Amino acid sequence: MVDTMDNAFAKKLKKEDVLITEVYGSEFSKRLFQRKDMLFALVALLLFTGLALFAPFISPYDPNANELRNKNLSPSEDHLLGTDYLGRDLLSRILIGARTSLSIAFGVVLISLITGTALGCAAGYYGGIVDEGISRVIDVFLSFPGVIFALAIMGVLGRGVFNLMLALSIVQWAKYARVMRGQVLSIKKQEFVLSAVTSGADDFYIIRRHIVPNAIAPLIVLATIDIGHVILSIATLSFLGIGLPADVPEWGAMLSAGKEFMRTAPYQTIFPGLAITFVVVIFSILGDGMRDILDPNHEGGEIY
Amino acid sequence: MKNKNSPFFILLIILLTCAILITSGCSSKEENNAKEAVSGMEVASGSDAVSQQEGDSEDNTLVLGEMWEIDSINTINGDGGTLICEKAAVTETLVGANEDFSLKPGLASSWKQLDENTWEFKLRENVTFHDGSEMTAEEVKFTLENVIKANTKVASMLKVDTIEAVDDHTLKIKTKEINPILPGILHYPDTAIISPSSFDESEEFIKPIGTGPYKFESFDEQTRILTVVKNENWWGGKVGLDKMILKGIPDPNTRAMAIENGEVDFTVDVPYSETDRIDAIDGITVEKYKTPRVYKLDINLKHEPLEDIRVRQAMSYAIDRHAIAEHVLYNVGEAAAGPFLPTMVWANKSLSPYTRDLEEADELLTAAGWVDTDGDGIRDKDGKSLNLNMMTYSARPGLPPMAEAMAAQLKEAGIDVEIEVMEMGSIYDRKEKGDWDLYLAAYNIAMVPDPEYILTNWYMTNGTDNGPGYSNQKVDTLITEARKITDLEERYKKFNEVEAIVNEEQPMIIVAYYGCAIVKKDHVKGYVFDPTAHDYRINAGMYIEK
Amino acid sequence: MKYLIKRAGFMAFTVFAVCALTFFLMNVIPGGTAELILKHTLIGLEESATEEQLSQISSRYNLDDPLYLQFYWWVKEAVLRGDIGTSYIYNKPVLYLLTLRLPATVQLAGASMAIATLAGVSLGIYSALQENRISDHILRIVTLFGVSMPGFWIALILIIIFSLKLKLVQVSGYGNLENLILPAAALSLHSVAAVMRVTRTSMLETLGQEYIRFAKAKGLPVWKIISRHALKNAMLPVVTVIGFQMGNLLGGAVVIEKIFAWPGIGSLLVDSISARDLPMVQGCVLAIVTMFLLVNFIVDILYTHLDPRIRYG
Repeated sequence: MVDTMDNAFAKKLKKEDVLITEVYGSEFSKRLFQRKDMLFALVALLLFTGLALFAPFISPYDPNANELRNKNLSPSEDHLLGTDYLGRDLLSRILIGARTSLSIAFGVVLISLITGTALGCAAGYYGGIVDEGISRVIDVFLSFPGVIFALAIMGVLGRGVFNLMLALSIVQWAKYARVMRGQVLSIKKQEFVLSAVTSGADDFYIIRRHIVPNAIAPLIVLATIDIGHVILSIATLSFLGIGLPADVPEWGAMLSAGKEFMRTAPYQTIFPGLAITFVVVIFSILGDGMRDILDPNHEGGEIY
Repeated sequence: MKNKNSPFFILLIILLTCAILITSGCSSKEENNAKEAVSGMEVASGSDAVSQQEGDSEDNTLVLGEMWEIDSINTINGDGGTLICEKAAVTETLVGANEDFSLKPGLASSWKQLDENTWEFKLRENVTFHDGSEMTAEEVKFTLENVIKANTKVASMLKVDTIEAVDDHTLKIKTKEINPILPGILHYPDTAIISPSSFDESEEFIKPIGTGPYKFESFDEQTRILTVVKNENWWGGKVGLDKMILKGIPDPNTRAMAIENGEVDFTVDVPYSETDRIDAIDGITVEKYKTPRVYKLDINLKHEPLEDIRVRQAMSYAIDRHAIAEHVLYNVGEAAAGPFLPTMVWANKSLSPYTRDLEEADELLTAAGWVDTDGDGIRDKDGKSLNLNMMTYSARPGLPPMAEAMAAQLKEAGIDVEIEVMEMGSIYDRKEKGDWDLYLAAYNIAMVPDPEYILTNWYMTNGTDNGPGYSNQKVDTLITEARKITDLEERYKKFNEVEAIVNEEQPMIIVAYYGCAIVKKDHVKGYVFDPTAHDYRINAGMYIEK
Repeated sequence: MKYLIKRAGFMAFTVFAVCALTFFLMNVIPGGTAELILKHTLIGLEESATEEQLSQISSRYNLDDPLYLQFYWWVKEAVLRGDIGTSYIYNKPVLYLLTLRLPATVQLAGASMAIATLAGVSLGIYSALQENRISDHILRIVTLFGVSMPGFWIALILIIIFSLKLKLVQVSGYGNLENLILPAAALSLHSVAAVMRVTRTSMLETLGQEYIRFAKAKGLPVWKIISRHALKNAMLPVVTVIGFQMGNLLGGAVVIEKIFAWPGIGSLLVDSISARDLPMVQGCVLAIVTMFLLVNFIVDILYTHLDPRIRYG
């Protein structure tokens, strides 16, 4: 698989006369405004982020205050989205939950992106034994069942937002490293890198100035789409009983805790479920759009 | 070459592979069945069982949605004892129990204590195993000896020294030390009697051959479907069903949907919130019972604030047991007073549940020095605020929401509780390290139908399940004294006193009695709930009427 | 050929490393292994074990030996005698239990793959032909939302609609084709969407090529153009994506198996992890990783087949 990926990227890059750096400036915004779906997604994302940031001020109730007698209510004037199985206000929980979900997702993607870029660069740039070592580690992590990692980490460190983030990052980083390695492999053969090497610039400088800026585009795209995937993974882990406990307002945990009530009080799964779906959709559109903008010669759909 | 590169060729390969994969599942199943057939069992493959289901239910077959995965049919080593004895009704124990948990004859017709360490059991006559052989003292001795060898838990409870078959129907058991609860332990399903022909020549357990109303027919290890059929010669009389098919459906939601969709005729513990909705469906009835298990909150007495009896009592007053039973358990369960069900013959009937009283809680906490001085809603003392953690696990669906509800109720009394839903292993680890404040769990209270077992384990200094680290000289003395008393009334009196003391001191807060929701189709008749069973018991009188 | 040997060597190394990692991680998770084995076999979840029981279990399974020794023995037995241990919980050889459970997962993944390929490719082609018409937009929006919904939520919604409301299929069960439909459909949904999107993009690109336009100008019927010319070139990324999806399917199977009480390897893995049934966990991981690597290997071979430009050195 590794070789396939490398080849695909190599092929693509050969076709590219324009290097990605040149697209960054004015081109970017021009292309951005050509796409309506992207604009829509950006606006929606800003809205969600805003809600998440200001959640404590706008949520009508304390998200953890329960009123057992008002449990499982349908939407009404008092509770705009209804209440959950302990009588907690769903709107408040979803608003506060946006913070947890989004921050975990951003955190995981950021950690994986940084780790993946660093290791991928090292592997691709130095080649030889370094590459061999890192590549094997990447292989192992890519074929490892993520559940075990999550369980082991949550078991050792206990459940919590940070630990969940760590567990998911450990599962995710290898994907980035693999893509990065492929990118670096083809870029380092390009003229401008070769000339930088001959002119005696040190490795770190070359990597920082020449390699990373030219190789990062597909990773940014991948990262954007991944934010949605991470939110989905949290939900899955919660379903398996190793995510966050249900008293932490988080969409995946809410959805998973509410599944028992799907027939009697469906709103407590519908709303968190929709929230997750919308955010994932937003990031898919953004990722797709980013790809078109950053990587105009890209062929054939999602190859990540 | 062109042909080879055709996309259709590739797609065809992919699809063909898929087809092979799909059928591989089916074919290996047949092989598996063939294997079973070789080992001498009558074969009913899982798919047959499922596809015949509709036809079958007309000729008196019950499909049962069991709540745990069916992993083992071995009754000797403790893996499948409860399933085979109580849910499949294939095996029976020497001693039975009435609804109030007092003992009654089972395969043994009577028993008496000859001296401190010697018991004599008279066995029921004319009982035959499913293989046609008669049950005598030899087979009983064989079973018990094998169980003691393979099952350390039963062994440590029985404390048996020697077992002797005096004659065909008399068994003498000598214990290493005085053990008044011996007959009670012989009610435990892991001690159910099987024929030696349950083993093959190499002494491997192959299938349970018992004496019960149903005979073992087949166990499909792949689909994990257990089939049992009517035992025409049951000593207890007529058996209602021709056949029973047991499928493990571990997810409560799936069980609910399965009975709603008519795939099972009988199941237990659908999500509690669904009980009323399902009961309202035409043709399905939900019955709620109490089972011998309690939801209890262990309190770590080694932690400074919880050492204080007033804090513990205040917590007990802050918890709204009735609201929890109604809104979290949906009345599958009930607010609890002591550790035992009031229907148990030995229970201290004078206890009543702590009712919610925030003023009382406030007084107690204030007296203990916990006051909210900084106005953040959480009480504090000497600059430290009253923050506690509560561990629980999700294997029993009532626990996590109960923990959340209790945390909110305690917060109203000014106690901040952080919930940690954990895996069993992590809980064990934290308890070992002493790094916990509260632990919410659901404990069995009648593994053995006698109060000695539970009270010793929970409240004696260094008892095996004494999580809180409770130690009270008086309780220890009372239990030790009661152990030696064989007169039941005298015994129970001492135990009642223990119950009263721990109810006052609250080293663990007993929150609610565990409930069981029996969900059955209306055409299932003759079901009688047995409160002494571990989850539920299938009785011989059940039948199907269309 | 040399490439194949090298590749096989990598695969063997990866399998070994994953097993070692699993072994280490499983032993790092807190909570005594012996205690948990007892809780899941003999004494019940809530009850505490006695010292005597604990030491008995520990000595039976050599749990007190140093980790590296335990792992060494496991590898030695596995390599020399093909014996990958005996499950602590089920008390049966792990290999035997795997042969019982593996077919169910393979069947489920196979069926999902078939659905994903058939539905994904045909919907993708349809969508490409209808580019920017209303049906194309609807399809794309539906699939976009399809991939964005949490898997278990979709599964539960499918059960409610198809089993309870329409009474078409059973909620749970295993053995015949009817039982397979719903779990396979639920599991394949994400993959259908992914395959469809790739097929669509790739088809569009191919349809825009010179030679297709030429064929169109010649007046060839649409289906002929597609089947003779377009599909062949459009399939390259599709095959890649199908390979990638296999990994997702194996991961998703864990959840789907839990919901549908499907007796597969995914649910076995999760149960074994929480019961600390180490040999069983090792066995499941071994099987899953091997399957995953093999599928990827096959995809790579197919890939070279489709695109002769790629040659492995």
